[in-house]
Amino acid sequence: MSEPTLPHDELRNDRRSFLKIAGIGGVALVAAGCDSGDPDPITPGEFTSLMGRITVAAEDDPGRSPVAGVTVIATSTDTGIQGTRTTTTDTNGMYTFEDLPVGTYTVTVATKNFVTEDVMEEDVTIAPGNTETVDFSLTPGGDIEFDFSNDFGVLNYAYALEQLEAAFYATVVNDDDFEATFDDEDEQRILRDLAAHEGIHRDFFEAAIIGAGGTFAARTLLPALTPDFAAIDFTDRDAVLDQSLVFEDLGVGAYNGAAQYLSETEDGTGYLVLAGKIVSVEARHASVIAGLIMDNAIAGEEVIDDMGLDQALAPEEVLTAANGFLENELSAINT
Amino acid sequence: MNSDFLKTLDALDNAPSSRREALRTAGRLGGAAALAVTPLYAMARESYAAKRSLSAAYGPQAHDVLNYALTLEYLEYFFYLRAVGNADLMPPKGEEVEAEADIPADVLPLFQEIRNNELAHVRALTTVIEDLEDPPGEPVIYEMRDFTYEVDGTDVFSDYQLFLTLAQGFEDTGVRAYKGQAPALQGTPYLTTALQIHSVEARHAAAVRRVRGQTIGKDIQGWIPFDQPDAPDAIEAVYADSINGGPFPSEANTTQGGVELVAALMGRGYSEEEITEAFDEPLDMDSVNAIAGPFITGEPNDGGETP
Repeated sequence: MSEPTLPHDELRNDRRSFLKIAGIGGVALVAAGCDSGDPDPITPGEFTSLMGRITVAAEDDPGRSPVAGVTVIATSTDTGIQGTRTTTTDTNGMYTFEDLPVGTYTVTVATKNFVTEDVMEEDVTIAPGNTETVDFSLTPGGDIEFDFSNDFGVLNYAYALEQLEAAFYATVVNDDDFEATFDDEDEQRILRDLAAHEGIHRDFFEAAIIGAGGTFAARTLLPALTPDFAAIDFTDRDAVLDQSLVFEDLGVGAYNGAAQYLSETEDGTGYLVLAGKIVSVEARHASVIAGLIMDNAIAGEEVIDDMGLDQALAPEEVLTAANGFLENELSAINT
Repeated sequence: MNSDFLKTLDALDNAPSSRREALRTAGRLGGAAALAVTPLYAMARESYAAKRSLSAAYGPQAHDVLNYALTLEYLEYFFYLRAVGNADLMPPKGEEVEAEADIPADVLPLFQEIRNNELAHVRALTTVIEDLEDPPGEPVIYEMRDFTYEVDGTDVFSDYQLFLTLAQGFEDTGVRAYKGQAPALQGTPYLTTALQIHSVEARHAAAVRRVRGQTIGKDIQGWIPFDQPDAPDAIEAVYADSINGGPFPSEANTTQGGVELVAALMGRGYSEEEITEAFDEPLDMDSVNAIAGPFITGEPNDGGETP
């Protein structure tokens, strides 16, 4: 006679353990600890669902942005039932455990990167016929480490930079005084284009990283960064353009410097070409902004060297610059 | 290894040699008129092929790709050198070259700077290729001073707008060409250098596009909307699909990394035009040859020295 076990999950769990895996080291990736041995017998019972939504806490983000890619673990705490189920939040921050045996569980969320404590958990008892809901609110903060020994770490690095740029331009074009600060319609048009392009890049990386999750050991997704633009006067045209050029030149140098870490592909359809498709658009941005600042300029001062080469910046250098605009602290390993 | 690349060169080796005359007044980059084109690098490669060592992990391919890039840089350099001359360079190097194009003074520094960058690229790539060891590198040397390009009987250097059209075409082609070869350099020390040139070409492209838009009174931004539907016939091919069923879609492509972005990003306030602008597309060597080949004049390594 076969003994019932938790469906869909082969992992048994005596205690939760938290593993850092390739990708973004600092984003807590939770994997259920497992030990050898057969599952303990559990009582056959009815099944129901458990679901919930993970968002940024309201005090940090009134819009309560969903947090995608967070690993959620349901651990049975009933005597006689041992086991875990693991899932990941989608782009809406939603997670669902289908067909969970009724009983009592501890729901654990990997929060290492997102809150001051490592683990958030809540106990819940699910009963037949009811879909229980357990939501979590996360507080941004903490450090993020990009592991350049794999493509995922590099992609998340690019994703972080695109988030920073997108947030900057969104602030520029949504400023109440935008059309007064930039009274030239051509300049308005350019900045709105840049806001769109960087938003598209950010959203593309989000989609691509989630899409690639299936082929990686686990899904990770850098939670939304928390930019800090307090030092920038968004009603000062020259200051905004100067900052824009810094970001664009930084972006170009970042992509140029990161390409070497991407793994090889034979057919030219891999991440290297994708990075190439984006970096030249960043370079176009940088050139146009430089030209708005000074006639005929195509780059910031000393950005193009005597050999006619653009910058190729080490990840550490890029992140040091980016950290000046972030409440998060970003770093790179295995570069 | 990208064996298609070598196949491409082999096929082009057999291109008829009378193409330059036939294309002298083609008036269009790429397209039907350019079926028989000068392979950018085929002739240099022919003499080199016998010597190269196939045992090198990436040597021959890197060598060929870098020489292909160098040939493109020669083309751009001589194009701008003829346009703006070299009287502004201090100290002058070599013979004085008179400016053939009548470029307005307010944007002349831009084109002088671009000429300087292209010359620097020629020198940088020459140095890189010279340093190749297995097999030993042989950078091409070109003198490309005599190409003629006319549309409706008007020469490119006597018509500022035509000059800008061609400059835009060359720069946007250069961006696509480098991008298309990046995978061939992956895993080599030359990838980063190529990308550092690639992004400078993109800076050139954006600036030239804006100058052209302002000159002809049209809304031309630094980035490429769709496949540049308003492009003059002369440079349509620059933004199009790869020729002959080649690998790359046009600049209007909206599927990136397997994600169709118009659908995936629906409802987030982005237009399809903005989605196409946000990504530049690569171009294969065959297609680049069709566009740029007709402008290659002179024979490689035909005396002379690196400028």
